[in-house]
Amino acid sequence: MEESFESVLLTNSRIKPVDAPDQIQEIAWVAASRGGDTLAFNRLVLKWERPIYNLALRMLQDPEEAAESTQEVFLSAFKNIGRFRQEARFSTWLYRIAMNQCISRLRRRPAETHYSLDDSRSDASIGSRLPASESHEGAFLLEETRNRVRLALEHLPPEQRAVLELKFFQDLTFEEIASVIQVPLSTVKSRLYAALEILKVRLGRASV
Amino acid sequence: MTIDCSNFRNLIPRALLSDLTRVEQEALEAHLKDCAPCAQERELYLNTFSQLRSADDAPVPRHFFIYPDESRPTLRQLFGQLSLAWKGSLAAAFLALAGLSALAFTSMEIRSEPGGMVFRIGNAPEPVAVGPAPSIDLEALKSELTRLLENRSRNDKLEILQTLRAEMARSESAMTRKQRLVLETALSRLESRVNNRIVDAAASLESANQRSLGDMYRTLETQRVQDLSSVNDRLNRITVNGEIKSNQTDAILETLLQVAELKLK
Repeated sequence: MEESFESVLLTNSRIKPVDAPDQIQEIAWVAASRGGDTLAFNRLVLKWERPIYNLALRMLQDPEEAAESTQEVFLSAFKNIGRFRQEARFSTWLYRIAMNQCISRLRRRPAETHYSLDDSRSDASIGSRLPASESHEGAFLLEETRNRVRLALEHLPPEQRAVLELKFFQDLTFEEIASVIQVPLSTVKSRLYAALEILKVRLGRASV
Repeated sequence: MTIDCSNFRNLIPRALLSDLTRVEQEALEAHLKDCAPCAQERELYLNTFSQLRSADDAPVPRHFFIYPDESRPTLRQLFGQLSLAWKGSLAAAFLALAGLSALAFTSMEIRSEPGGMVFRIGNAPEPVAVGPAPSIDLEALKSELTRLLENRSRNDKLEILQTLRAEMARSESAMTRKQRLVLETALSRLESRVNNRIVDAAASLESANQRSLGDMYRTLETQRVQDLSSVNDRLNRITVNGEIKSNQTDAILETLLQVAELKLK
């Protein structure tokens, strides 16, 4: 039953998204989801699962926990979609749920799970915990850069990491970030520039 | 590094993120042309940005679909999907129900009574006039029957005594003084016996519930009729044989009294 459900969803989702402009289509899916239509909601899942999963992965630095967190984000979003106000974009609301979920998980972690560049854990060990990279040429260098970035991100406080994630990886505007994490615009900027200052020290001298 | 450099370096990341005014942007560009350390600082930031943006997304390990069985809408969701009119109606209905429930609970009463617990919601009903309980009926019936029995017995007794006294008057010439005394004594004893019998019968009626009062009454009545009949027969014989000897009269009276006593036992 699950296979047929997924196959129907995937088949439809490959056709439907090109039929109408993205934003209008998303509004329609959200409206249907508010009525309990799981098929419509799963089209939203298909559209947003990759950004949300990668957000969780960069925030939590653990693929399994990131997957678990992503599933919880979508489940929570579906259960609470009645509260979603159409004034904001669905993605902004979804990012807020995801970010709250990740920051809450990070705060629950014991202190010793905070990693440092000086500890015995190597890039390779982190890489082994992450999904296998694409098997194209040059993938090794890309994976190395990705791991370096992840290691550098680990040294940021969760609040700074969240702002950086939303700005650099999710391409949100400052206003959207302020809406997602619900802090003033000035706070968003100060957190972001403080994070970039730290990352410049760790990443700036490394070659791409 | 001058104070100007420190200020301009703070502007470098802002410039890279298009967060500067046009004036600030032009001032920074002018400074960077003349300041090698600040230009190098900009290179560091560019390299950092480049690395951040090169770390593109990883593919998802699986899909994160929501399945119908794990996504049953909650009551809150269902309520949220209703139109405003329906929400208002439901809220009003809920409030009315809550009010009625509160009213009912404020006058709820739980108490124990003989035979079990009594649970009641709402005001106590007005006491309904009910007839006497079966036990009261039985007592009233018993007392009524006893009273009737006593009246009947008294009448019967008086009738018997009158009959006996009339017979005595009729046979006065034939009876000696001793015989009359014996007969009066016997009548007194008979009267006393009848009274005792009535008292005993009433006590018996009260103590023996399982016995039928009607049967008892009929038995007593039959006995009295028999007694009266027997006494009348005997007195008739005395009247007819008025000339019998006194010793015979004594014997007859003695027998008569014995018979009466036996009947009354």
